[in-house]
Amino acid sequence: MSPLYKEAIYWFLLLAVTTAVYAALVPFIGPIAAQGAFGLLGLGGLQPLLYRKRGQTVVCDERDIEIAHRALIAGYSVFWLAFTLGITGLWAALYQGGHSMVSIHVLPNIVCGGLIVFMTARAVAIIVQYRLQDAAKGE
Amino acid sequence: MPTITNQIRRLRFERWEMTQQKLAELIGVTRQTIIAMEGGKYTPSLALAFRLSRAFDVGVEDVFRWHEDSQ
Repeated sequence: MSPLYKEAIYWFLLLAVTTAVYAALVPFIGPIAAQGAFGLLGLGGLQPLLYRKRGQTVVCDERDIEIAHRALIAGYSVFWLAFTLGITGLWAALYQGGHSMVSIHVLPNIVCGGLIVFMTARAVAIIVQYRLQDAAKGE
Repeated sequence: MPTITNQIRRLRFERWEMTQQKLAELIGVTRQTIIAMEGGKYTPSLALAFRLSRAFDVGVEDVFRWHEDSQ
C-alpha cells in the first residue's frame, strides 16, 4: 500500500474521530468550546513518520506526488464550491432587507466546516486515484 | 488522442523474469508505480522513462511506443 494512500486514510480517520469527538462534546460544553476537538487535527503533524525509509524500498515517487497534487486541486475546488454555495446560500436564506444578523459563532464554524470539506475531498480524491491506477494486474 | 503503450512486462520477463519489486528498486519507484505502468494506467515522466530503458539496457523507444490516433 502506498504511503500517501495510507496518509489519505490516516487523515480521513483523524477527521472522522475529531468530528465525532466534537459532536459528543457539544451537549456537555456547547458548540463553541467543543471546537477545541478540532485541535486533534494537529496530530496530522506526525505524518512524516509515514515517510520514514524502510530499507531499500522506495516509499514515495513521482506518481505519488502527482496524485497528491491532483488531490490538492480537487480538495480546493470542492472546498471553494461548497464555501461559495454555503455563504451565498446562507445570505439568500437569511437576507431580510439588509437588517438581518448572523451570530458571531458562525465564523469559527465556517473555518472548521471548510477544513472538513477540504480534507474529506482531498482524501477521497487520493483514494479514488490509487484505486483506479492500482487496479492493474500484479506479478 | 495519441496513446503511449509500453513493453515493461515483456522486457521484465525477458530479463531473467525480474520481479516488479526488483525493477522498482532498480529505478527508484514503488512497486505500485510499476503495476500502474504495466497496466497502462500511468505514463511516467521522461526521466523515469530513461531510467527504465537503462535498467533494461535498451532504448526508450524499445520500451515505449507512441501511437497516433487511428480514428
